[in-house]
Amino acid sequence: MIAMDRIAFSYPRREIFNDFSLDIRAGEATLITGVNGEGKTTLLRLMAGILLPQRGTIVYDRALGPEPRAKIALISDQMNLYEDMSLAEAIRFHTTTCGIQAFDSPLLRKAGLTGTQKIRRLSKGQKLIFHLALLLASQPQVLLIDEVIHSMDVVLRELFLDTLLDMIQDRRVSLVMVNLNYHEIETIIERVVLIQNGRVAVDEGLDALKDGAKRVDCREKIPGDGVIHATRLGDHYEHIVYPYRPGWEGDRQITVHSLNLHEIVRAFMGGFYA
Amino acid sequence: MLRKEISDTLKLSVGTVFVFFIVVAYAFLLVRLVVDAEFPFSEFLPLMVFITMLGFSFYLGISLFAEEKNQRAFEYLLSLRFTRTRLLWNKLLPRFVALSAAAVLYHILSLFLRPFPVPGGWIVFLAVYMSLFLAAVSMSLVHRSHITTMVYALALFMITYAIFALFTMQFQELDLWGHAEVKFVAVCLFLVAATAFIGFCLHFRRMDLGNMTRLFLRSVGSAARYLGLPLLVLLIAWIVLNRFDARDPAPGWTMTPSGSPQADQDNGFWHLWTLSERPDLDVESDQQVILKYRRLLDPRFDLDRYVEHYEYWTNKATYRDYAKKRNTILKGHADLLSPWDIRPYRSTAITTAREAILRLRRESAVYLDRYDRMLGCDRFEDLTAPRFKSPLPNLLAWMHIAKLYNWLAILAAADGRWEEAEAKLLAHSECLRKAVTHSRLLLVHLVAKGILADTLNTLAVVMNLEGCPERFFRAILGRIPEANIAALGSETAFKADYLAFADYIEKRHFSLSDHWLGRLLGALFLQENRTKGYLHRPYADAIALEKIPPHRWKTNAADWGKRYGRSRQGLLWWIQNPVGKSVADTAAITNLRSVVHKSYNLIAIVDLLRISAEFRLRDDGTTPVETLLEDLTAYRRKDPYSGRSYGWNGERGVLYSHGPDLDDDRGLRSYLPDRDGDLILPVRLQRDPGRGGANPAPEE
Amino acid sequence: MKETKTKAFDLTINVKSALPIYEQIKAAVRLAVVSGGLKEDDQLISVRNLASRHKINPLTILKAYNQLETEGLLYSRRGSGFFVQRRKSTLSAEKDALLNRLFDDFLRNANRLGFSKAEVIRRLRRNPGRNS
Repeated sequence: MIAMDRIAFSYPRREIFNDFSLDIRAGEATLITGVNGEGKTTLLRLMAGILLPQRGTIVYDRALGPEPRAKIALISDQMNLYEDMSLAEAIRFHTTTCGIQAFDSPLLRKAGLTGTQKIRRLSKGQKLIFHLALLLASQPQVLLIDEVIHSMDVVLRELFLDTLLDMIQDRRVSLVMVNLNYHEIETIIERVVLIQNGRVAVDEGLDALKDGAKRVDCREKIPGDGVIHATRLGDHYEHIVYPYRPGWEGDRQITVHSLNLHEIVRAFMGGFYA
Repeated sequence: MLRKEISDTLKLSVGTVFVFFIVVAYAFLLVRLVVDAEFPFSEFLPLMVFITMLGFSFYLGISLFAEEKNQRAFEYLLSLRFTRTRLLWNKLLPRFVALSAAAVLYHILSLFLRPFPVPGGWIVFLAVYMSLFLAAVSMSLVHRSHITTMVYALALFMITYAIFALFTMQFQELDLWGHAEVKFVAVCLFLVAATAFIGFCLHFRRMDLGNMTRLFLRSVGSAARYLGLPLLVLLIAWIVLNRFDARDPAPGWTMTPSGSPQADQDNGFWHLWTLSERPDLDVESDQQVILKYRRLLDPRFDLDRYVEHYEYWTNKATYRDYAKKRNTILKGHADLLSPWDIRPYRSTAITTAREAILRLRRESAVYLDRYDRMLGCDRFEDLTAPRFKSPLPNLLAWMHIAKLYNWLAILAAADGRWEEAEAKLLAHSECLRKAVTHSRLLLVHLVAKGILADTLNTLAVVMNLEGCPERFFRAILGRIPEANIAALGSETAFKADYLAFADYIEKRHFSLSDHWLGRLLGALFLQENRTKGYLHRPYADAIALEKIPPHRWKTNAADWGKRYGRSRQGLLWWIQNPVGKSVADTAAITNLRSVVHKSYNLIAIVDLLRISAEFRLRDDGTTPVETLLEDLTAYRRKDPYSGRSYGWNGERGVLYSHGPDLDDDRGLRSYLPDRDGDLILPVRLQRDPGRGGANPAPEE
Repeated sequence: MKETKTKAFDLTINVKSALPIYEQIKAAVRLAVVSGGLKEDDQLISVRNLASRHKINPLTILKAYNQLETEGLLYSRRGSGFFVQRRKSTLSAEKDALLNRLFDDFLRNANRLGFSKAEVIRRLRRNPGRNS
């Protein structure tokens, strides 16, 4: 859907990307993660066309139609709408701007948002739901989600996630999520992209990642390829190994454990902080 | 999105109008209370509207992204499906429309509410109006905070205004407007603002959401590169172009300041200069006086410094007492009061004022004495230096005394002392003829001509007195030679005047030099020879014109103003020698055509006088006038204003020339022969009313 | 969305499991079928509903259902959903397989604790009642 090829982008005093490439595929739910400040938000903005890369190209798939940007929606907790507007005014502004004829949102009804409230008066979660409702009116094909879940209460969160799931099922929407809390979305995503030093450090399907990343406990420290991270715990060493294949340990006595996404990513990022 | 922008712009416009009304009301009250209770609203209103227009334009530009800044909706705006260019266009279009509409309304308002001056004129206003908007737009993203942005922008505009004012050198003068330099600078300002604006638009496409000041600095950088560099190149080219001066337009026109260093009492002009010195001083022996004039004459003396100290005005001050006395004595004799009046005399005006004239003679004894000595001189060499701020002799005194001299001659003739009158007047006219020939600066030359005309008219009056003897007429024919341009022309005076201007240019005497910026611009953009050329042209043309009698002139008098008017003509006048042209335009050159007329007028009067004298000699009382005229040698002279013989109107008894209007008005007396009428000389004919031709008393 | 005709099955997703989620779903369905929680021709809970309940990617669930269909445990009817296949014969095989898997897990865990296979069998004989 979106093919980013050798992107370079810097802010005035900081280089974010130098030679970055990534493909977003149709109907796939991708998690983008990395250390704070690595450029995850910037990446989403580049995908959405809010920022323009200084070098390299971003190619949109033909399936997105003649106006690709109209079919790509970004929802972010940093993005504000025109807060002085009422909901009705904002709807009118957005629909006329995006050329949408009719606007009917069961989502808004479910969230209990009526037309006369001013946006400023809404809670953060409500604003996000409202923005999502606006974005949905354009029937986007790619939905970019930047750290929004934590701002929502339980009810809104449920509403939000249900909407995402419906979008996946009904229209095979591609999701690109930046989320630091993996528990919430571990069962939704299919692909994990870890960004480190402005490059893609890990780009794997979730199942493959989990299949290959194991925690190997051993009395001795095992050197060798694939050890992402090793710590000493009491009388044994814990190694996070990727990829782990049976026999990797040689003839040493080990126990192997599976990991959840949090642990896997943590291990990868552990190298960064160390 | 366009709809929102339109409604935002409308809100802003309406808000401005609202604020305007309130501010105007309060400000006007304030002005009335504090400054001037009588201050007229009709003066206050145009200024307020003008300021509001500029403020509106500025605010319209700077508030381009106000909504986005205040509500932090920038990212949302950028996330919409428009390209950045389209986004900017949506923002700018309603504002451009509002700007234009406001300007149109302003124009309509200025038409309906007269008077409604637009300071600087429409070009300057529109240039500044648009510049403010464009520059404000390019600064609209300098800072996240709206207030800070406006502060930055205002500071920048203050600096720009200061530079603008300095450049146009009208820092002290409030009359800043209306000059071509201001228009030029306003247009340059517009170009710079436009380029900053274009730079802004180009960089808006690649702007990030981080540091917004960068965007402005980048656009300034663009402006510097895309406009500044070419402009710099153009500026250098402009300066280089102005380095190539023309050749000296009049290399042959030189005049040394004066003759010998010694005080030259054989020089008639020396006596003219000393004429109005204090009556108690003996001008021929007093060393102070002699030294004063010696310094003027000595070419080695630093006249530039001396001019500052020359006791020019002290001279006038002492003379003023005499002038007051003169006015008191001549009160009631309106014909005689004005020294400038050189119309032909009425003899009766003089004779009835006898008492006053004789009293005046007593008061003027010293001056008359000095004047006699002037008339006695053979040599006339003008001491007046052809340079800027040249000291002049007291010309007023000259006119006073000369006229008095002539009146006394009339009185002498009226008393029957014909020889005395003859001697006086002919000596006077000979002296004046030399003064005309040898005088330098135009002013001195014109005064000399005027007094000569006065003297010739006096001769005519005396000729018409009862009992004028034949020898008088003979003397006239003998001692007043035929007039020609070589003797009576203004060529020397024209050259001297030109040289005074040339000195003005060379020594940078003009007011521009009071300011350091003026001096710099003078150094860069004033080409001496070229500027002198502008001033040279009318004089050279006048000299050439003078050699042709007026009846053969092709062009109209009215053209003179157009031909030798402003040097700053055409749209591109400023490219070459702009400072020179501006200075030349401030140097007022009198209408030289009328100076040339004066020369020919004099020639005509001399001719008419001689014709009249010869006529009176040969008149036998019976031959018809026209026939007699044909016989006269003097009559063979052609009227320079018609190309034919002079005219004779028997009914009026006048010999006449067509005069500068070139029309035959049949001897109608005119006080403004330039416009209408003829130059006339009344001739008394001693004829029997019954025989041959009408013979009334000559019209006086 | 209220569904009155579909039947749910016990599902507990373990993110730390070695099994991918779709395998866990498959296992849960198999267990439900084998244990009788899901009978023949029962309509399974819809993908949408299951997804909403557990916040699982519908495509994952669809993958599981489709694989189960391929394996013969389920069949699908267009527009209606997935149903349990009538396969009496295979049920015992399934049960067998399931039991074997349980044994494997059990033995592996006992091994970890340090018990040998012989010891485990001896214990089983000794305390049969504990295991019911």
